[in-house]
Amino acid sequence: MHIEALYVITKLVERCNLNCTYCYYYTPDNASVFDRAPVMGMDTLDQLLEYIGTAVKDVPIPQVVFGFHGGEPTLAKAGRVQEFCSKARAKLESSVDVKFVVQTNGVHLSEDWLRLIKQERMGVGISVDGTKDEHDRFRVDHRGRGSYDRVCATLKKLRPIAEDGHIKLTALAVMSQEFRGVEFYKHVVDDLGFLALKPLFPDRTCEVQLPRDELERLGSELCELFDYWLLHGSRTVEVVLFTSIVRALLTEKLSDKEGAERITLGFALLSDGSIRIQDDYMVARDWFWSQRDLNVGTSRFLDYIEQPHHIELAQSTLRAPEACRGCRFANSCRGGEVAHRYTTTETFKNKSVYCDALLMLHSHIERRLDLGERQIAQSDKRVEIEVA
Amino acid sequence: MSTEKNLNNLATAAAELVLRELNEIETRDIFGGSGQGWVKVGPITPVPPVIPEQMK
Repeated sequence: MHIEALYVITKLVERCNLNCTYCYYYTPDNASVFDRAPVMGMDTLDQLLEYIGTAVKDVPIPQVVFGFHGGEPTLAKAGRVQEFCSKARAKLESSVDVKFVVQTNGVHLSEDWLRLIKQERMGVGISVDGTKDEHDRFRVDHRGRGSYDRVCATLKKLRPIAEDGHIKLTALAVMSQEFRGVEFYKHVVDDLGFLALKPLFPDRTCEVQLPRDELERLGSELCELFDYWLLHGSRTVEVVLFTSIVRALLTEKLSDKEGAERITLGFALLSDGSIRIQDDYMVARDWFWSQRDLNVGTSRFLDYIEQPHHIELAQSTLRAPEACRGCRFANSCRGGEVAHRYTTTETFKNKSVYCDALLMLHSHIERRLDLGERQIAQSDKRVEIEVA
Repeated sequence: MSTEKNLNNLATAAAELVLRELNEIETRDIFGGSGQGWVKVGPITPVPPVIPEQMK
């Protein structure tokens, strides 16, 4: 197994200034969040640097990405985060590439945070669910007020920094049942000025099967969006879901043998120093809550990656589940996102709960790539590939 | 007619996408990590790496 990067979800603030209707974090299962400190202390951040310093000695890791997360991470004082970034660079940069990203709801970014983002060239992910109506239906504050207008005000300040090439600004959107792909794209790209989009499937597992017509509708929306993106934005706009499928399909065509086992590892650091499997897997409830109790001050990264939960995740990430055997997209799709395959009895051995939609999208993209390849064959164009 | 035009536009855009992405794809594993290779696309067929004279 070759580790490409380690993603450290650093929960700087475990409280949020929004109260989104679909939030996965503030749930009865995770009620202990309110027993933990609202803001991560500097002592915990210092322990994190010691922990990562040991990790990169124990395990070959070329890149560490600190993802500031929450709650809402920008409720932390920017000066404290700046201090952490400086310490992280000083301690780690001689042995590993260090990057910082922040995932924010965009409700409010102080001038200090804007300066920090620019200075550290942080990647910024902002949650935007679509138009004002769509966004405000789900992303509300504790008084039930929509947050769209405040997000737009923040974007107005962030866009110039992104346009100057200092940062990458990505829109993250949960695809609700009403998701309209092309309308979402037009709004987020043309109206709001994003050049990177990350549409997210809602947190679901195979415990509850989704209606076939709902999956087919979602698949159709994504296929239509792919064509629109191909014609109107594929040179300049990144849609993470599409790019990853295109690359997976092309890579598979290029290679007869299975690719090296490359993986990005991740964990979440909570404000009290607990080390936990990343939030994506909270939806796999019984499994998630039975993981080992680890703390940044009293354990090593090796303890984390050697625990059975993590081993199971790594194996499930690298290989498609048995249930996908016979599917021609088994290697490129690998059964979709691991969390979406979960049931209590089979854990991650099922097909994705979104399999029908993913199959439609993979087939559609494959057809489009075939179309492109035929066009290239007609012009007999050759492409040179540098091999390191 | 408009459907045919649309299909042509899609084919052109898809061809550009394929070429662009091939340049992005890490090819180390495809050729075994040494030398310099060519890939002819459409259909994609890996061609063995060309070894410069001085390296023989």
